[in-house]
Amino acid sequence: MKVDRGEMLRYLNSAEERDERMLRRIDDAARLAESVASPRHVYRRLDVTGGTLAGYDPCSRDVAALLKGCGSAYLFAATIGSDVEKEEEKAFARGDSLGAVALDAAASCLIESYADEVCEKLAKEENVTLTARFSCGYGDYPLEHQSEVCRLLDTRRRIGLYVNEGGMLMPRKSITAVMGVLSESYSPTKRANHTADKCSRCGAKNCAYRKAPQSYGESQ
Amino acid sequence: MKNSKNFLGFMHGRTVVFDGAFGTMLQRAVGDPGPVPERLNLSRPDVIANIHRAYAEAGADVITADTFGANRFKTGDSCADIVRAAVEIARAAAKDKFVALDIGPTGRLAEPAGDMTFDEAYDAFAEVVEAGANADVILIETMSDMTELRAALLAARERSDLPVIATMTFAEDMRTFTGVSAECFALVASPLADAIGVNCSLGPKELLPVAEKLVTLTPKPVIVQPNAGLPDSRGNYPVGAEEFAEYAKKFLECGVRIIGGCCGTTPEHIALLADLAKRFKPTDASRYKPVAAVCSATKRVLIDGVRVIGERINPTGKKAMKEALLAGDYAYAARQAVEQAEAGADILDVNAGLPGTDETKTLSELIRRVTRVTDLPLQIDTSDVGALSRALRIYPGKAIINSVSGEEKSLSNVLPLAAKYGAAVVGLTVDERGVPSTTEERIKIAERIIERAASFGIPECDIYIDCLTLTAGAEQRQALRTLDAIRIIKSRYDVRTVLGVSNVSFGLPARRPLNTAFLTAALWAGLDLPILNPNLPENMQAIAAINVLTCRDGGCAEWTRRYAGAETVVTEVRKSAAAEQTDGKDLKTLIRKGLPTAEETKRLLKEGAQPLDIVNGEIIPALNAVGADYEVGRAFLPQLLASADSAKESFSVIRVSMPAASENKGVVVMATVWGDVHDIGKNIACTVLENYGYKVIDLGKNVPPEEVVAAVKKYGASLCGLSALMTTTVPHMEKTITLLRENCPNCKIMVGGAVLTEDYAKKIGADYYCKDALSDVRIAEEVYPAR
Repeated sequence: MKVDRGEMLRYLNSAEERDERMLRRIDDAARLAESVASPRHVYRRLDVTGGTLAGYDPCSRDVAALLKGCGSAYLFAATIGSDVEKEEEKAFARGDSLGAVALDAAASCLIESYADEVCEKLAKEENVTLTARFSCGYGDYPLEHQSEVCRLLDTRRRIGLYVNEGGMLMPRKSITAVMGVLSESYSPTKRANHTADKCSRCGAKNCAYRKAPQSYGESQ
Repeated sequence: MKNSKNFLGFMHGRTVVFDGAFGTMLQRAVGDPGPVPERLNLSRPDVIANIHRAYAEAGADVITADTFGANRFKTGDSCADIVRAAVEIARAAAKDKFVALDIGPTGRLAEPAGDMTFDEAYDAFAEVVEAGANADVILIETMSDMTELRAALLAARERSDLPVIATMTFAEDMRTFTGVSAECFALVASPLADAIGVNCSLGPKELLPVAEKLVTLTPKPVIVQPNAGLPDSRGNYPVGAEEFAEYAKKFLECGVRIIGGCCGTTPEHIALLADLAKRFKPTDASRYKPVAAVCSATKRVLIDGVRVIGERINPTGKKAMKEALLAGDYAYAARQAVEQAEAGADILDVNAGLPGTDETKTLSELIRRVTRVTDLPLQIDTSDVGALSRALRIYPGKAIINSVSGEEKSLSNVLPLAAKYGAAVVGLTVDERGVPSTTEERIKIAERIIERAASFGIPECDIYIDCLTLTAGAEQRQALRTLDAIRIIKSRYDVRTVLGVSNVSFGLPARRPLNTAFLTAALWAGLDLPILNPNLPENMQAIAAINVLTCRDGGCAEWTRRYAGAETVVTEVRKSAAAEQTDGKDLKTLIRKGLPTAEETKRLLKEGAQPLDIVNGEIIPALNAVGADYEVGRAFLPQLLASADSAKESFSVIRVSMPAASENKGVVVMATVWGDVHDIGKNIACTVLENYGYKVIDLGKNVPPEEVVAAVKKYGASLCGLSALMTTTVPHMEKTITLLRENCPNCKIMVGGAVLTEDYAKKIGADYYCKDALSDVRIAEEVYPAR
């Protein structure tokens, strides 16, 4: 689990940063975030029939499309805990808002990197090839489903992950997702082909974090 | 056997067996029981009764009613009905067993990481406790948050006479998911519960070390209810009944008195436990090792050597703190908390005593804000019993009360509170007759306090005697008497001693060396807890030196680590957001480059520069230049923030030397809306607005609409800024705007947040949309035109 410095700069809305001092501050924040994070995850495998999971209907055409051809799927949740948030509060309190914002960006990178690692490990251990992660709020997958996904995974008990009335995950740097099982054997090539343009599969064409050109995926 | 069975009597000389998992059995019976499985108590009592019967037949002594998640946040209005029904079902299904009222977490995350307040949690638990009055014992279980645990414990204690058991759920790092350690749990829960322990999250193998530790940390019996291991990806639990029982034996051998099962366990597991319990006679010898300690939710501080209590969060004689508290600005106190923690304080004193204010409210809010930025335990410093009581109630840890005196009224008001909440208490050696002038009188009062405390069950190690520092300039002989009293009291009792040091030099020149000398002498006499300013290096040096000379700093390791590199011992350390070389740069350049500005600002002031000239001639132009670069894309957020931080540092220096110098261009009330806990964007906006001379009232995150309205009215703000991160929290923003329009028609509203756009902002009724970190300033300039 590591903070990708390039991603971090992107979260900070910064162009390529060359100022050494600034890079050092960003580096400090990344290291602090890495040291206080307490990553945890939980997943559960459910059978899939006709675009919905056994005992859970995501109510989403995009999820159904993702799961097309999959016989089963995983519900997945991960968090890096709330200690990074506490460090952010501390940084703000001591008048270091750059430090706080850099920590926040580092934490965003960290949870992504952790989720990637866990999913890769999961795929190897369970000998499966997975689709990309698809989260509540992506495309037409309702944000309101956050609490149901968390309930099915028992995230409060298993990893200390809560959803508030606003559908917000707490600790803030957390992820929940659905991923389909593309095949019953571990194949990095197959997965690479599938996840080549994960942004292209998303309907949110105006998303600030979209990596693909807007036209991407339109033919799909 | 009938109702109100004597559970504690039954426990005597016996190992008690609880039942196993309810959810696991329920899933076997009905599949996914939905979001509120406890509703089945009303709709399918037969299913519930069957499970209870299976556990009763397996030999459990206690049957846990199906009330784990039956609280108002999940069940709505039917909470009480469900709880009553559940207790009756358990009673009827297992007539000769004890029935436990099961209280699980509310499902909401408490502040500061989450958005549930202590009061919300308490009220929800109180409802469950009252509805479950027919049970024989209360089991508070699977807790992971200290605030929530305490709310449940207090509700159980105050709304019922039943025995109370409390368990938390630990991960493999021996902490709960919110960071509570077994040590903190034991310190806080032991005074409030009849038995404490661990359950869930891990299997028996992983919980064994936690149980082994816990039996040494609490005088109360220990309960363990492990899972049947960790489930696989299909939800199956791997530890069978026999393996489970093997570990159970180890638990009993290490002193555990109550045993049962959590997720994945079944009547087969419990049958073997019951069998084991019959054969195992518990020893009465407690393994508890008492310690003198206080704690926050996540950090325990042992009072087994010199521990520093930071004195800075106190408005008495501190103008800046006083003004900040009066203005509702808690950021100042938060900063003091962080600075003192970083300077090496072990405990922080918090005092909100300001004439003409509601101390109960201010002190509670102060504690709330300070605990957000530090994990140091707090010393609650107040003479207002109401404020003290409320503070102890909400503080998620074991606090120190500052203070009780030898006066009868004080003893009878304060000591019961210390006993109830299990707090430590400062015993001030004064009484009705005032400050004693002899050593003997001080000792007598201390003895009176110790004796009375003992009558409330407060152990000596939780009493910190304050022998009083008097002013040497006025009463010179008293200094030696204070020191004598410390020495004698320490030799006679197991109490600790505490002393505010700096008063000794009041009214005299060159106070700091005098203070250091007195501190050193007091430490030598046996002072454990000096109350001082940890930001002054000579204070911390004196303590480090004493630790060397008394062999507490073994091998002088700590001393060497700290001072090996220093040519001479430092006399002034100032930490800055970015410690950098600033030689030869003017203030404008420093700010533009985001470098530390405190020294240069001080230099300018010393040379006679007018504060307002510094603000208007240096700071604001520098900020404008960076702002202009940012707006055209030549500078980015990191540069903008670095400059903002530098400007803020410069402002803080100017305000100290001349509080009135800071310009007030107008008041802006800022809040992250109800239901939303992402406040980073709002925090940035606050910093930037303050730098441009606006008075910012920052209400924090998850702020109810009514609170926003109240603040706008109270401070007469013409501008209010609201932030919300997600589409699901924007409705609360809209609600807040509506309420503001009704109550404060003259207040302009600006909004910001990830999902908002210009159009969206207009649609929900806002006046302005903030697209980035500088928009707020442009809007404020429009709302408050320059005079």
